[in-house]
Amino acid sequence: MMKSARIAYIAVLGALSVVFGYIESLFPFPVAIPGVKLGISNIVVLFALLKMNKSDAFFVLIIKVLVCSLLFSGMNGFFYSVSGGILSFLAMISALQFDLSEIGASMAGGVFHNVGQILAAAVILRSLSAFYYLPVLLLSGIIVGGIVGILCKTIIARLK
Amino acid sequence: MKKNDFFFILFVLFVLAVSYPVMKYTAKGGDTVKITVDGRLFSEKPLSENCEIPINDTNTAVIENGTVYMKYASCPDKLCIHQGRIRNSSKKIICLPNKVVIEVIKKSEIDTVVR
Repeated sequence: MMKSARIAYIAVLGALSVVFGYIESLFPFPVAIPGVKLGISNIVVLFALLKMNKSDAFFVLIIKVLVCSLLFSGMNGFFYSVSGGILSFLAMISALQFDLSEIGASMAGGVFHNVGQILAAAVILRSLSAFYYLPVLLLSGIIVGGIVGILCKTIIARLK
Repeated sequence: MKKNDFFFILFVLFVLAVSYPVMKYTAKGGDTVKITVDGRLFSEKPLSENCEIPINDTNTAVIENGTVYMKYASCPDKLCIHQGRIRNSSKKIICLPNKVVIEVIKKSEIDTVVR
């Protein structure tokens, strides 16, 4: 892919992830740690990872984390997003290496997105209380990750 | 979906199946309300005594009939107030903006249990 085309794709996907981040911020998560998100906007990063390459997907992730969290969720949300975003990115890369399908990779991303958020919350609160929400967040990671994966697979199948 | 996907799902469900009972099982009836601010102990009050506890002008906790709840919070989202009443160690009230954690513990076990 040409360099300018790459830059344009990264920018468009980054912008799309901000839209998803905004939609996501409209739905409060039924977990009582403010700033913890479902991770729907992960779909854009997964798409970039599958259709482009790792470094491009990483740029999209950085745009998503920086812009979304600073716009919609403040400083604590920023730490959650950084921690969740990077862990979920690493999880998705490793999942693809370990021969999981797109859907499985997305589930891994969703689960580790939430694990990362809990870790950040535990550090900020300086307490292990945040781990009380681990079971809920693991389950929601699988479900949301599965939905994101199916959506992403469908979208890629429709795009030539 | 590939074979490894199901292994991953099974693995996460296994962690879930282990951690959920652990969280439930370790829940003990408590007799003391412990409030920490920014990781440091702020105050400890008996759960049996009805009272109102102001926490650094940012929050107000209320102990009432063996339960504790957050009555006031200075933050905009008020999530800690919506977390409702707690009566044992299975739940905690967390106000992240002000870094306040309220939990119910058993006083006699404070010296032995490190969490």
